[in-house]
Amino acid sequence: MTHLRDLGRIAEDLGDYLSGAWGRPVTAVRLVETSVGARRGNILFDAEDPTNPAGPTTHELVVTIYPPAGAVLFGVESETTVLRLAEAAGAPVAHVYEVCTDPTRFGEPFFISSRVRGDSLPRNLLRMVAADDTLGPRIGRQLGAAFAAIHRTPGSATPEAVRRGALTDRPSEISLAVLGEQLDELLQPAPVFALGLRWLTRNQPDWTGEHVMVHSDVRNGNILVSPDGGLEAILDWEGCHTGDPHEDLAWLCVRTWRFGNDHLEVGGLCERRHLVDGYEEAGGRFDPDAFTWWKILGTLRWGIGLSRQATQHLNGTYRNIAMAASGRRAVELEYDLLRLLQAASAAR
Amino acid sequence: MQDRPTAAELVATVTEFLESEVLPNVDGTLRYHTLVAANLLKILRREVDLQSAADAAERTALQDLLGAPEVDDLLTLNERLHRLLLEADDLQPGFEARAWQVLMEATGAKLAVNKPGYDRYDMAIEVTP
Repeated sequence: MTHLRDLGRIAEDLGDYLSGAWGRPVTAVRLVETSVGARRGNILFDAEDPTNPAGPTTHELVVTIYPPAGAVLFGVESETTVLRLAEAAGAPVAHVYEVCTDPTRFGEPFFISSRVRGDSLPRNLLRMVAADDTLGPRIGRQLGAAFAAIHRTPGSATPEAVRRGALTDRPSEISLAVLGEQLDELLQPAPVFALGLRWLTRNQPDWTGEHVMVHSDVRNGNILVSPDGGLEAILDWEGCHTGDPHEDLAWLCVRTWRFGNDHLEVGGLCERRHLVDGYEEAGGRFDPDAFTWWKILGTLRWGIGLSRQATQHLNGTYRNIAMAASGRRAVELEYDLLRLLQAASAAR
Repeated sequence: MQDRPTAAELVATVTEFLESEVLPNVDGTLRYHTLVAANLLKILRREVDLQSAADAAERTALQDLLGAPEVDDLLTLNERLHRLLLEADDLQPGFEARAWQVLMEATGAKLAVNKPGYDRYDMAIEVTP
């Protein structure tokens, strides 16, 4: 899909668009396509701005192009709104320069943001951390501070499209309802997932009553990291919703995102205390029981998620060998879930 | 009687072909998908060896847990347990713990096929950070 784009035409269109938006001649050059999943296209480019009042400038930018309506979790307006909310709160994210909801230009809406340096490939991050003892703990504290910033945004300040349920509903109930529905749709019985859902339903955490903005998919793989700066940016805001802040902290610590570096709970990068220290120092409130509950929920969520990928392959929605293989990875999450349930039952 | 190569030998042959002849000549997504394909064939190879014994053990354990010696079908047994765990308000004392044991056994058997070694893992990190 994305690799069939005509980059020459897109360069012209981007130049025209920015020249119009900024009121001076701008040229888009050095376009490079990157892939961020099947749904959206990202193109890196440089915008040459020779008559910038502050002097000739080359801006390093990214354009994110949406697929045709209907295939997105939420649209360009919601995504750029939450990116701007996160930036205003002090979280490291790309800066949004331009948003175009008019689909006639590239055939699809798009937004243009700053290009943040760094690497997001999990294996490369594990290598960086192995090469420098101080880097992992540093990233953990930075992630904690970033979460505290994201979670400072109350649910009532978020756009309608990211609100899940009413702001008076318990986030744990909302998440359980979503997973219950997804479990019913699987192609085969999954008694381990049923046992997990049963435990989660009967042991829900205390709830303070205030929904906050939650990213919901911060993990090793969705963060940009550099060896000298540590955490540079948090990517992929498509799943942003309102809820319990512990959902974010716990999802990052699900075993899958350690990519084999199992002894470091936070994405294989550092120990939990570094994340929690960073969170609390930046004003976040951490509750270990809520964290444990959301980690068990996250483990169930990703187990069901893998089974759903296999379902999409098997029912023909998205035939793909990696999606098929996901069906045989679900058992890893079943194992983790059973072990977490054992530990949680022993602790109560 | 079927001719050689046997099913297991065919699977091993295709795995070798992917790893030694295809893999060195591809990159990007195709390389990733070739690795996935080779891994799926290794799963299939282990399944040929292990699955029938695993299914027999799981069947006996589920029949015992559910008190249903007359039900032979593994899918039906799993469906019954799934429904029971989701829907029953009250379960007999100790049932959930016994279900956990049965499910851990079955999960271990699936891991032995799909991801051997995944359960050699120190759980302490999850509990005492």
